[in-house]
Amino acid sequence: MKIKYSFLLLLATMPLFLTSCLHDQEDVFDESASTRMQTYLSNAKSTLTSAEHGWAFDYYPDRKLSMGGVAYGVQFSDTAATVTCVLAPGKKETSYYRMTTDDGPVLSFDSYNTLMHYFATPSSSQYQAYDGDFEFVIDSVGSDCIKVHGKRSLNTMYLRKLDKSIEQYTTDAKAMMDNFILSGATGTIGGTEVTASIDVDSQWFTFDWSDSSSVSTAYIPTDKGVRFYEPVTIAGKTITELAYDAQTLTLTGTTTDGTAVQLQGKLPDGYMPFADYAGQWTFKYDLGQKSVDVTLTPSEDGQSYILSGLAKNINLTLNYEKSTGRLILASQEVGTYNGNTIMLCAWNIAGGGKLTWSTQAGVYLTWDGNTEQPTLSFSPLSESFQTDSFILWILKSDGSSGGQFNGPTDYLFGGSSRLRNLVNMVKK
Amino acid sequence: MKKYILCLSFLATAGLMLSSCSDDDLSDKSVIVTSETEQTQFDKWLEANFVNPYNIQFKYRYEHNESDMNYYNVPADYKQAVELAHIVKYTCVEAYDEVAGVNFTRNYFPKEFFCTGTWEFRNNGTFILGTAEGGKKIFLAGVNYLDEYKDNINTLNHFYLKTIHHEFTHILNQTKDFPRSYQQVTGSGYVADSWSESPYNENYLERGFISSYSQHSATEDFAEMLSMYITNTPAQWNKWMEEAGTDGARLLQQKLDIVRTYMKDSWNIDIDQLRNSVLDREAKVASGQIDLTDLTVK
Repeated sequence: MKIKYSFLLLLATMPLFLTSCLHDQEDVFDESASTRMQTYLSNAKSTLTSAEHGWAFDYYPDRKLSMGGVAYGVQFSDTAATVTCVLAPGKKETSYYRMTTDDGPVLSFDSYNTLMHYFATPSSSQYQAYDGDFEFVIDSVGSDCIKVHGKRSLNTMYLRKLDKSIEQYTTDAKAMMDNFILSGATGTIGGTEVTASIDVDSQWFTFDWSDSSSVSTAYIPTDKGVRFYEPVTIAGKTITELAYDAQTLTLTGTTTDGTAVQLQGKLPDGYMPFADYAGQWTFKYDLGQKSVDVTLTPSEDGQSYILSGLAKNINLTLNYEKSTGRLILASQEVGTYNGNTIMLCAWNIAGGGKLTWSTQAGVYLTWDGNTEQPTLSFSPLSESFQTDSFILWILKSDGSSGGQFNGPTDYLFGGSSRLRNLVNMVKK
Repeated sequence: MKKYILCLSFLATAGLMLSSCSDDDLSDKSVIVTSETEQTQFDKWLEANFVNPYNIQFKYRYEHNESDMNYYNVPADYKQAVELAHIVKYTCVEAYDEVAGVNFTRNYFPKEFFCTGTWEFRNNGTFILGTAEGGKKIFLAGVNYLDEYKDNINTLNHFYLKTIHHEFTHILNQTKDFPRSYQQVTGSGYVADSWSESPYNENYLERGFISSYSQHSATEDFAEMLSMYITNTPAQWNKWMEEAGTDGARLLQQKLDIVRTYMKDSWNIDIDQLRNSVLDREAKVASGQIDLTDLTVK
């Protein structure tokens, strides 16, 4: 009995001898996590501030990448960042930034900058803004290239060291963006025939090859061409970017294993470059019975034209759709009268006479390809409203209809509120 | 006896084995290393005007951990944050200094302000102007619209100053609760998140509520009553009482009396004196008499 008890006691206390030393662990790192983080951030910051000209920042708002990438230029001083953006050429703005830790090592633009925070700024009609970031988690730091991801969107973005000023980079990227008007391209990559279709409005490429193999990617226009959101693999070859020659419409590049790539780009059918619309035209309507001399004057930002001449005091705005080279004439405000708004309304005579002041309704003006005597024909903007005419209408301040607009004469189309049955516009 | 000696000796040896393994030396150097950002001129001004006299921290640079990730917030614009800090000091902090004494402000005024640029927009068209939390912190949204609103006393009030006084009331309540009797005056009229919808967004004065938002809950009602009272003129208040009709005015008066007593008994503050001070200061800001941009440290 006594022996049994002692034996039991020995067994019971054995675990105490065996386990007690496992608390002693070797440190895996030489320094504490906090110190290592600060060293990492310090290194990232000195890399950022040491770039003489600054960085090209390939910014991708929206986790769905619905608008592709937007080229930004950023130059970092010790305390502040100077920012340029391809959407606001000629403008630059400085604000504070900070290196910090919360979601990991973070680069935060922590005081407001109208350029950097543009896509992150919400409004009552857009409560989630454009799902853009202004805080970026740093994934890796190289001497010429820094990889980050947006804290909210988780989109991968790169900062690449510039060899020109941020202003010059932005100007060049804007020129590239304006000139990149392809609807597609064809060529070979490593011997395989490849067809690319390009949507320059949403900034996406789709590559097709062999038997229904396909890959899609968002892209960003840079100062030299286009760069893909992430490297794409097409017919077994991986490529990151393509240089673009606007004169020959060619895209060239090199795959990661050194194979040269050349694709021949094509413009959409009926594509008219923005500048070619400017000048005098003959506007025909009323089934050809009416002809008016009009002028198309381009806007400074290259996004629209003003059409004058249809009525003495009325000018119409036509927007330019870059991806197709067409102009759009939609319902719009054209003036005020007695405290009410005069609206040019899309009108469907053939369909029964309905009209609408919705700015989503109107017509496309598409070029027929004729270079001798360019002609633009009208076609409805959407299936749901077959616009074939326009009419001037009064919209009261409470948003209700005020009836047809009937004068004074300077505000009418040849004495009438109606542009019936549009035919075409022919260049003079 | 032998049994006990054996037992004890085992335990003693075990004890020795356990104690001999904890031999980490404690370092006198902390492993927590914080990131430093250089002080701006504004930081220096804040130190002299908020931190040193009141121990209040005014955070104008965006901080992820201070922000509500349920909303798309953006940082405050530096220039307008400077103006807001001046406005907070002059129309709120110093108003309470004047009426309740600097020690009251030092003890109870929220210790932290955090500012962001836009309102916090919800998906139903409403938006948040600010929040208060834990008796210690006020979050102020919409700093980037300040220049648009600061020259008109009504918009300055509606979008910023009333918010601060509203949030400060919450903080006072979070420190010392208001009487249960308040809730019973218009108890069945509280409608939570439906406050902004029809029919609650109209005729609330007649139901005994000073604003549409005060119908949210008793807590919001109390904060609205006090903040609306002290940021509006006696003439405006009387106009509202008239609009409220006999029944509405009676209910409003009942609630105002409880607010008045609470402020006097719990905080030794006369709300009419407070109103005079606040209105006087707000008027000076709206008319441009106060320098909102000077950052010299005196």
